[in-house]
Amino acid sequence: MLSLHPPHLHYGGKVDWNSQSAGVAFWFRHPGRPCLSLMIADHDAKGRGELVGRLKRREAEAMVELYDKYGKLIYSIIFRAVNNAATAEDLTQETFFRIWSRIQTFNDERGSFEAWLVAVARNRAFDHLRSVRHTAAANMPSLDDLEDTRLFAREENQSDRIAKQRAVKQALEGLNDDQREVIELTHFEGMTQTEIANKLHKPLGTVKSLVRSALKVLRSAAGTGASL
Amino acid sequence: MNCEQFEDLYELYALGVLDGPEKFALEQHLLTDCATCRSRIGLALDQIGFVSASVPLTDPPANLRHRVLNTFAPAKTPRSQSFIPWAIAAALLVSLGTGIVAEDRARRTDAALAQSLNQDLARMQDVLDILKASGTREVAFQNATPQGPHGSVLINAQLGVALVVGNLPVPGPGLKYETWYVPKSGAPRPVKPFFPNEAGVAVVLMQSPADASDLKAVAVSLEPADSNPVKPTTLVFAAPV
Repeated sequence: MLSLHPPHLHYGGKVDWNSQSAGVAFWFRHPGRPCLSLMIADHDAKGRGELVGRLKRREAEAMVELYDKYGKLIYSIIFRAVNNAATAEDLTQETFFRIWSRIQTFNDERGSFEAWLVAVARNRAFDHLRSVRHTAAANMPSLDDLEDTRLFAREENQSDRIAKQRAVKQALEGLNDDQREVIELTHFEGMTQTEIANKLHKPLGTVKSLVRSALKVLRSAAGTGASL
Repeated sequence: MNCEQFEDLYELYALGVLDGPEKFALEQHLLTDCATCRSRIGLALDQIGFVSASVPLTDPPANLRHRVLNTFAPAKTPRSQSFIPWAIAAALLVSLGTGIVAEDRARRTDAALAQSLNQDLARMQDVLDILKASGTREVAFQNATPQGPHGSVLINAQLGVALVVGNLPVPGPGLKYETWYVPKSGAPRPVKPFFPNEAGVAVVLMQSPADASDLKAVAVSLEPADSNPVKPTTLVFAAPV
């Protein structure tokens, strides 16, 4: 933490936030010795921890904050998957109910809250799509198991998450059309590689190759590769 | 296979879209509690989260906020009819989620799970049918303390009687709950034993008494689990109807 002595400094700042994060940019200049610095304060991590605590204490008002902060993102993820407004509304409601009923299992010192929320929303949508597509559940991993918060990576510094989020978004934009198509079908519509091969009328080997190359790019952008 | 050979599978597994022999091989490997692979799945979940969060944002309908948050609004007194759909949703979610999954996944077949879920769904549908039917009378009840049992009794002479109750403690070892029809004259009659789910919610569907107009109350008592009680042992609550 920086130690500042305001009488000797000129300083200013800028607050920047969006639906998922908040940062504070701060500069200061010492008279006679010009300098400029910047820090990003992870105010959001503290707020997120408090929010999780209030949810665990069953404070209904915390759900208001949760919805206002993540409702649009959760609805958007589900709508992108199911492409139907009425179904997306139902599944969004189900997602928040599930978060409420499962929040006691969430360990905010171990796992990333945002990644977990997104997983709960995505799995509701994938569950729905599986039932519509009559995918044999016996052949698929249980989505319930994939919401076990012990699986999730440890919460990072918020500024690191913002940087990684941007890097992944840029990496997605840099994929070629074929790569982007298979990533969208796996990540946004929950399709297996076999299902993608059938849908696109491409050999399974080709689809696997496309998925593999695209994931390598995303892994590199997110810094989640084997070198870690 | 060793960990390196799973390099391209972590994301697909974490998405729940891995299938075939690759899924089988990774699951078998995970049974060894491999710390490396668990860590990589955690990172994959994070990475997938970044991809999911890059979705083009779509404004939800304005009424969705109210609809979602209404589910979590503090309960009003006296409790209204909205308790019943909430209780049914809670009961279903618990049975679909932690209850059955945690208890039985390892030893029950998919067919048995599906059958159990279908039975739960059918029971909830029956209760909703009673709720919607014309001629159904609903009587809300509440314990003297806010923390005590509360809920509703739905009475339909043709379709049956449904007891929907929340805030019910899990009975101690060797105990069960028993429902009773209390007539205007005569002794209470045991109707059906039950256990609440882990959320303290129970939805009990019963046949209507022979003469619904003679029903004075629906009561719940605690009884030894292996007994066939003829009169209530420990009365938990009675809902006058």
